[in-house]
Amino acid sequence: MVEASDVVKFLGQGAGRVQALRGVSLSLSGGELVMLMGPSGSGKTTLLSVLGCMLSPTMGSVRVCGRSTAGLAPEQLTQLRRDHIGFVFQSYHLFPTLTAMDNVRLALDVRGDYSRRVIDRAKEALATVGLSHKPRSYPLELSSGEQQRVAIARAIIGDPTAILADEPTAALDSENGHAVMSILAAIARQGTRGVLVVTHDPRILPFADRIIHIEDGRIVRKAGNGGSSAKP
Amino acid sequence: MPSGGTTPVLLIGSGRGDFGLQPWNIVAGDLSDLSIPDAVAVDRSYFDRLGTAGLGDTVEIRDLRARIRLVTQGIRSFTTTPYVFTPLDRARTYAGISPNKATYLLVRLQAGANAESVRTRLNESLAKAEALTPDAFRSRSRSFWLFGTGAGAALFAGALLGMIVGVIIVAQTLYASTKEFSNEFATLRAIGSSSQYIYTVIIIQAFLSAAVGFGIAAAIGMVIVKATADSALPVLIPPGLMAGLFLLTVAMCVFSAIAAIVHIMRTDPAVVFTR
Repeated sequence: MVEASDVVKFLGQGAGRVQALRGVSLSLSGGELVMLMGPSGSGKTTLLSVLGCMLSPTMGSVRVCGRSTAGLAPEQLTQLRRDHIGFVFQSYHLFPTLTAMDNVRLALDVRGDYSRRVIDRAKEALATVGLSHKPRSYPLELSSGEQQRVAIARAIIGDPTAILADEPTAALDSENGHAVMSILAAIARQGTRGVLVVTHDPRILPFADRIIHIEDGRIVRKAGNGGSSAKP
Repeated sequence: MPSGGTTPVLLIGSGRGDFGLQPWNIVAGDLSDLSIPDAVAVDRSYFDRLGTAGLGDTVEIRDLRARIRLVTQGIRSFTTTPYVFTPLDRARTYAGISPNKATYLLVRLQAGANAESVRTRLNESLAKAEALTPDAFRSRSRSFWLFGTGAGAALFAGALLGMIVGVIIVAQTLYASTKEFSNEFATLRAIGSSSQYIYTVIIIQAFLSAAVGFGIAAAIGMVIVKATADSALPVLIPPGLMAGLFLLTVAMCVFSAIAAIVHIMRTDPAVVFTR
């Protein structure tokens, strides 16, 4: 589904050039929820950006649904992202002037889908995250947990094959964090989508099928659902 | 003038026959009153300029008495110099021109005559005069004022300056607006919106700016048109000009959107992970 092989990524230029990723390999399959953990500056966000086709690897390869990102122009990467990846951000990044329904519909709008089914699909996505009763609420009228759930609805409405979530519970209290992770786990359990969650939050580790630890741009440990760990 | 001052006027003397250039839009007096000795016709919009109260008032043209016997409305010159109509012979007297001199001769053709061939024949037979059709005369007058005098240059310079200032202001406004919402644009890019989608969003913003700005300007323009309708220098905004200005405004605003588009397209969508 999403696969990275020996990915190396340099960021910056000249004296400020740093190696953010040093030969990272990982794969995300449908039906699993993988957590990516590591300290600040370990390369988590860079890896998420590379897997999400926002950055191209300096070396190594990334394949999304079997298609290599090597040599793709920015517009082609955007299309790959649009067709296959859904994002959930730590700060939600909802549009404050749009209702929950319109925020969700936006993901279809950028896909050029203006059909009559858009509203039904948006309602369905909001129902999936338990917000079918608040379609007309604006982000500022929603709690943090509800805003993140709207963001998840926006991520899934385009029917992506992978969902990449960056610290989705970092700004949430325990109860809301649990609710958000329950939704992401349920999405993964449907079997067709893989979910990769970048997190610092140990409270949500029980939701993971696999946990990957990254430090200094390298994967240092992979652990399965039972907690058994292995060197990569 | 009654106040003792003087002001230049454009004296139009024409033959009394049916074919001469007679004043039109008469609002006071009768055309036949021009045959009364010393009679002249002026437009009511120039009363203040001429220092006169209107019909029946007496003025002087080059120390010769003239009485306003006819008042028109809407006969105004581009230069705001008042037109004064009077019979041809009296105009020659006021202007001190000999009786066999004329500045322009108006030639009216019989129905069915070919204006172009008449013009050609007149030009061939007249050594010291030039025959022009109304369109050619109009075009030459327009060219003279636009390109042969400082008025045209000032007009074009003013319009150009307005366009440059407009483009800069709209560009700055759009740039500031898109910069303010750069998070939202980065989010749009992150969730997969194409460049074309972003262009469309910004250009719609530019179009809305153009529409709102033009709407306000058009409303002010219409107020000015109404306010100057009876003045010596009326402002005219015909529908064609209005449509042209709207298209120009839209083009300016869309052009102004380029800076905003460049800014957004240079924004790394990955910034959504760090904000």
